[in-house]
Amino acid sequence: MSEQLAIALLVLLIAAIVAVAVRQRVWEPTHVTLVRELDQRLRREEPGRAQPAARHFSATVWVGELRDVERSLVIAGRPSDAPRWVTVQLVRVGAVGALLVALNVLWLWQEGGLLLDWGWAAVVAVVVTPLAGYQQLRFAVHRAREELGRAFRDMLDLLAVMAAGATVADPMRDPSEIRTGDWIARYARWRRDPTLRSVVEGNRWQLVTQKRPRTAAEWFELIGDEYSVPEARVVARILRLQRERGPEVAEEYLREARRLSKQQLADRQVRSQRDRVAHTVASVGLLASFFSLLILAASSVRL
Amino acid sequence: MIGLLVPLTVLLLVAVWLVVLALTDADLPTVVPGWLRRSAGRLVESEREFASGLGWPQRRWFVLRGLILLAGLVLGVMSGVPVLIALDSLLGATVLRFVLSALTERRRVIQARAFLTFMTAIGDRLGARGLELAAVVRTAAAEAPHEVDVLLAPVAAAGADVFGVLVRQVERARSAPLERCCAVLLSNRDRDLGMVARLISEEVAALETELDAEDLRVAARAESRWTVLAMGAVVLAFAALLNQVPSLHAVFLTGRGQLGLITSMAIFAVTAAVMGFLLRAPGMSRWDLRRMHHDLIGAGVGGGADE
Repeated sequence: MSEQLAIALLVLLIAAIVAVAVRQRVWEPTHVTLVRELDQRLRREEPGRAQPAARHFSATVWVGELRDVERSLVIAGRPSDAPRWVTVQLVRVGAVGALLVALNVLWLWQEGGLLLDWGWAAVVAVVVTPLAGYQQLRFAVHRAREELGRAFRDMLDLLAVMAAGATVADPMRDPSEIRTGDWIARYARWRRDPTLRSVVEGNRWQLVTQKRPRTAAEWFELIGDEYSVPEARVVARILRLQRERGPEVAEEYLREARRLSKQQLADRQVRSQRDRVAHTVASVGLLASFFSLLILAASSVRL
Repeated sequence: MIGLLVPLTVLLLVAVWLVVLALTDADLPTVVPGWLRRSAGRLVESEREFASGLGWPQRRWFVLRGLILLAGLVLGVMSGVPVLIALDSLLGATVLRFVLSALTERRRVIQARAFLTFMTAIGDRLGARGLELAAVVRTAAAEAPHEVDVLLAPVAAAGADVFGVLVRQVERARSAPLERCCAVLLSNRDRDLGMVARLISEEVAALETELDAEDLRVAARAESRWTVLAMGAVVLAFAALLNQVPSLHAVFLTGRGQLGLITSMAIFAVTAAVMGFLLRAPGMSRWDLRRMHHDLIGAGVGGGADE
């Protein structure tokens, strides 16, 4: 009994140490911690900027988006047909299930035993497969938001020169209905990544909101809110300023472009450092591969 | 053995056929599903991009790829173990690119830095009054650093259509930083040149910071690749050694032995994929310069894809 208690205490102690280490991010070099803390402070201090929760993991956001598959499909630039997406997931479950059954039957016939226990096979087919499908969709949404962030940041450079030039034009003529000839539609086509095109072409953004903006600034604010892309709100803010200040606003565009560049680079560096730790941990798998071969050989020799 | 060789050979032949059709820009038959045609197109584009990163002619790259793939297949067949045939073919298809990736990435960063020097020269010259952007680009191209002199030589020699030639050359380089610089020049050719000079200096500063970070990432990825390669060589050598022992060779031919090999390879492949994913390059924006040139200047860009 006391032995079990000691083991339980030991496990609790290890769990507590791991929790504290994760909480304190002990693996992070000091300069990365400083960049992260600075980044968090900048986000807190800037009222116009969307909260980081929109970009990072949050149980509420996760559950909310689970219910709103159609919205996620639109943001990810996929066909907005939720029943079709569910059908595809069910087909995947069926295909994985059938494959596992076939493998088990084949193994039973060849070796006289099961390759994978039926319980585990059911877990893989019914739980892991749909979760993987949903995670794939979430990843696509995350990627789309990142690309939209880059697209709006790059747009600031071009808008700066447009603002400084003789002709000051809005990115679209009628913000409630973007047309093919509008500057933003052309800009979307200049980018190889299709994400921004999937927002403006055919006015697919209207699938995520009932609101119809009256000005270009309102359109960018709407996209910033509905797609959770804070960079769009920056464009909106400067477009409003442009109405008051005219060509002078070009400097503001450039300043914001540089600020967003630095922000995006800092985000990437933080993520890159975190990924490097995970990379070191993952490399243990290479040794595992070697040892699995060794175990196979050793068990065969014993036979 | 035949059960594995026949589908593998058919798959390889179909893949080669699709790639050859995509390479020659021939129309793929309509019986081929759309996603497969798109995949073949993407694969060819990615290979072209890689060859361009290496600075090799595409033909040399594709021939070498084919030879290594063939060598992998032959080695696999010589081992006599079905799983090793599949493994060696897979290695033949991937190992060359895996090995040369670090070199390509390094070359791209060096090329991008040299292109930034060219951009800085443009920015500096724009300070002088009475110049037009096209003339400045042409002059700066004539004095470009040697890492990009071959790329920019046609720009220096271009006539009226400097931007068309620039777009064509930058498209050949298939490099995101170069495309971004070119997009800045294209979008500003009829605008306020003072602002263009300012924007160029801002862009150059931002891209230099990006390239510094990219340098670190390239080094980390190279280190990771060499680790994977060294461990892969150890695992493969060990498997080959075990295969020489008659009793173990017999075990490798049984279902249990094949499953063990597959498990071992799957662990290795998944680990290598996860490691690669964790160190992936965050994508810089790519630009469709041809379309941009058409929209802004209203003319097509002469010349097709390279080679």
